[in-house]
Amino acid sequence: MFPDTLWPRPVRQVGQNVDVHFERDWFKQLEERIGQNGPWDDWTMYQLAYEAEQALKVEQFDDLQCLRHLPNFKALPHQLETAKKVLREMRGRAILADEVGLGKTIEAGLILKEYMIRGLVKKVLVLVPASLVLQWVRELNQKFGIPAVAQKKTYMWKQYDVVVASMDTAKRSPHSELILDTEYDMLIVDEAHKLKNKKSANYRFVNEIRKKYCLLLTATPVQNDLKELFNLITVLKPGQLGGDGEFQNRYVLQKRIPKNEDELREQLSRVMIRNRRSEGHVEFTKRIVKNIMLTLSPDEQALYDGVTRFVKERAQEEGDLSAALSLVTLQREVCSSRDAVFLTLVNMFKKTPENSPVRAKIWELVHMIKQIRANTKAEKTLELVRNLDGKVIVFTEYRATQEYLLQYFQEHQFTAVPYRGGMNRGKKDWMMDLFRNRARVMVATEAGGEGINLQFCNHIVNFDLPWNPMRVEQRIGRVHRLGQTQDVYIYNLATRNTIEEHILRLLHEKINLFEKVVGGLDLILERMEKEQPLEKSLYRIVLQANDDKELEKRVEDLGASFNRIREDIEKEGAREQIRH
Amino acid sequence: MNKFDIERYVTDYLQATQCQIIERSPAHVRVRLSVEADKALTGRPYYWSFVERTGAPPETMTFVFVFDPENYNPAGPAGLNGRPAQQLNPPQQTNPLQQANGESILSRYLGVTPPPVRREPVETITFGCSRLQQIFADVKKRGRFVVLYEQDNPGGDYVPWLCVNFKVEFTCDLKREEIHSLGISLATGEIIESFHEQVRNLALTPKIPEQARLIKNIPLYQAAVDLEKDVEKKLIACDHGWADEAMERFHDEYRRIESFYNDMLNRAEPSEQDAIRAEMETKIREIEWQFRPRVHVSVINCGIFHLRPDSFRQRNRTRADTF
Repeated sequence: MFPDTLWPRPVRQVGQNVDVHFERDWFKQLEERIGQNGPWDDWTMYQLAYEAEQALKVEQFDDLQCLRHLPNFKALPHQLETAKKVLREMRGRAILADEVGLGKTIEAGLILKEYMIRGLVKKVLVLVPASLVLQWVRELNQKFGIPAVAQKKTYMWKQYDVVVASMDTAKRSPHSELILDTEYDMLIVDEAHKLKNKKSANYRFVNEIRKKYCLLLTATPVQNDLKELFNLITVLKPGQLGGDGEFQNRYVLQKRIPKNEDELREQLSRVMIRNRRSEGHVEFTKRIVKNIMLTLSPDEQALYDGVTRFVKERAQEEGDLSAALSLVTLQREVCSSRDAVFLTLVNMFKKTPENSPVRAKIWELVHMIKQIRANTKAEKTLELVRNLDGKVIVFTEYRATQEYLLQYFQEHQFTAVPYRGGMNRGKKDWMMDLFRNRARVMVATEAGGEGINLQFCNHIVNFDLPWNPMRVEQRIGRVHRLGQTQDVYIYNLATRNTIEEHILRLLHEKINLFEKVVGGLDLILERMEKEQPLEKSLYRIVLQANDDKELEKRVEDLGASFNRIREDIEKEGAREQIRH
Repeated sequence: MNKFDIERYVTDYLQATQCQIIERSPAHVRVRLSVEADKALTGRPYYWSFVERTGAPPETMTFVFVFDPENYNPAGPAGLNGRPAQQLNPPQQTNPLQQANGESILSRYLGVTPPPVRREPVETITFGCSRLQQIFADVKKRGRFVVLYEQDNPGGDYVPWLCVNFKVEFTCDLKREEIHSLGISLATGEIIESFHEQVRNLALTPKIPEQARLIKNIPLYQAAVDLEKDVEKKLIACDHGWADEAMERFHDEYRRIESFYNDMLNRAEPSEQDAIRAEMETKIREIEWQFRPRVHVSVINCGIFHLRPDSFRQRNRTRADTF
């Protein structure tokens, strides 16, 4: 051993702006081994180690490296462009604001992978809504080979390098202290528009996290207020739009209306990337919609009429309309299957006091149910499946209907597999595999859930329709998505002379929900539903309308107000488009 | 690395760790891991501590690594384009049912034991897959220091060379790397570049030859310092534009942050000012961390290579002859 003083200083200046740091451990270890006469490593291993480093070497400052590490991954051109731009121009701090369905998560994954490969990022925090935690973990693991874990225990913050957690957990004690005590090489926040309010706990928390690189993901960046956009950018790059007062003076005319748009656009494009569907990034196949109107059998129609009468009477007796709203469910259920309405009636019966006259009425309806032998819609569905080629997914709103359909298909020698929200992950995956490889039909009650990707199937049967347009779009979106190579056929089953007829007219003719993706559907609904969800408005209308004519009229009004808001948003969007 | 490189690389690794290759084609390899490879690759620390504590016979895992999925035929041991794979060490054929017929408690109660399920994972190995990353990590641990002698040296005179494989990382918000393999003669102090590439093809052995005479005039630390200085010289000479640009970005951001928070400070109540200043400090530390240009030099591995005195001269001459 010789004294360290014989060595030059380990940190030395090699250029005007740059120092070099030499590691010296190796020499100590080499001397130790010489002193002890070994142990010496294997020559082959030595060569393999050198070869590994050569293969992993990052040759260029700004080439994308990650693609050669992801040989089985096909990114779309706009996603690669985005990744490059974030790396080269935005220097790892960006708002990713693509419209829904263009793959923001993929872009974030690519960027993260790139920095990890370059050894610039090790410690990562991904904050997302609770419902998306597992989906993020899975995508990072499977698509990008990034060893991400879902935060479950307190020790995990320190133990693991890539942690995905829900914002709500992260901002609570003791988690928040641990996070604020750590320096993160990269912070990713999904659904970042929830950060827009400067005074909110979310905002303050995220702004306090120490980070080197940062990606904020949002589909709705300038939703309501330019001020909110300003706040979002302050998390990333304080001062990019000037100080607070300066920003107001220079760019804001009114809450939603900017001025000096060119300049604002220029400044925004340095921190924000927004790809749009209309820019033709993604070729979607066609959607072909077929509405199938069915006439109920006399028994079924009698039951429907009976239930409708029952609902109206009960609503009047209740007096309080909002308490009676849930009764409309009964009407919807009759249109689906007798099994669905039966279950609800039985539950209602149990809850009704024994001496109530209502019990008798419920019993009467149950008796009517027993008369019904066939299900018109199920027969039609079977006929459809028989005549179609390829896989078919049947969506229903009700568990009981699902059970019935599964049994019905089985009786007719068709294997159908179930899928529902209550299943655990493993079972869901298993069902998906069965559907892909063994069965022609899947009967599902859930569409919003993560992880159902059904590109291999191009027929959707809406056995009954959700009254929430978002959920309709989710159903279709499972099949009509990136990777679908065929046109998608959508069959809507609706029964004549029932509320279904009105709902189908609203969703199809008025809102035109099925033929193409309604841009900004979430925005439209958000504004429309300021007072109450659309579904509730519909319930109210159904209960209040005195006759079919009035019902039709009021549903039509609802559609009209939807379209007004849609136009408003399109106008705002057009303005925004000019700015980009 | 293409799929052929990967196939060779993984096979070299498996052989160097004494794994038992059962079956092999250009498209795949079926292998029973050695104990050391199993410990490095399968992530079963509990199993191995159980084996070590109880002395139970170790049961290592068998894998099929596929390098070329298009030409891999899982049905049979057929290799590339239907050529049969080499059956190198066919596994013992034992019928688990017969095996179970002896002592097993289960078989006494149930008449027969279900054959134990031997899991044999089939994995496609691509560049960037986690298995290859594991192998890389293990290799880096096992291939750090060597001492080697050139074979076939009737004279018995050896010049020791210190070879160091340097990794140079140029880092700002982006990063670039260089690898410099430098060798320095402990006899003359001469430094040779791409040393690794030059010695790779020599016949080398870890065994000390009988009657080896070393020609060594320079102490080891001096050689190490000289190599470091050589790297430094290269670094001073290289283009620093990237670092200057990074500093420019840093100053740019710095000014922006400063003016943003000064603006805020001017409007803030005195009670809020400390918090604002603290936030500003944090943001400035962040951009410093993000942009500050720096060069880091680490060592991949190093070794002492005892070569014939004429080794380089001779080969350089042969190379010159070919031109």
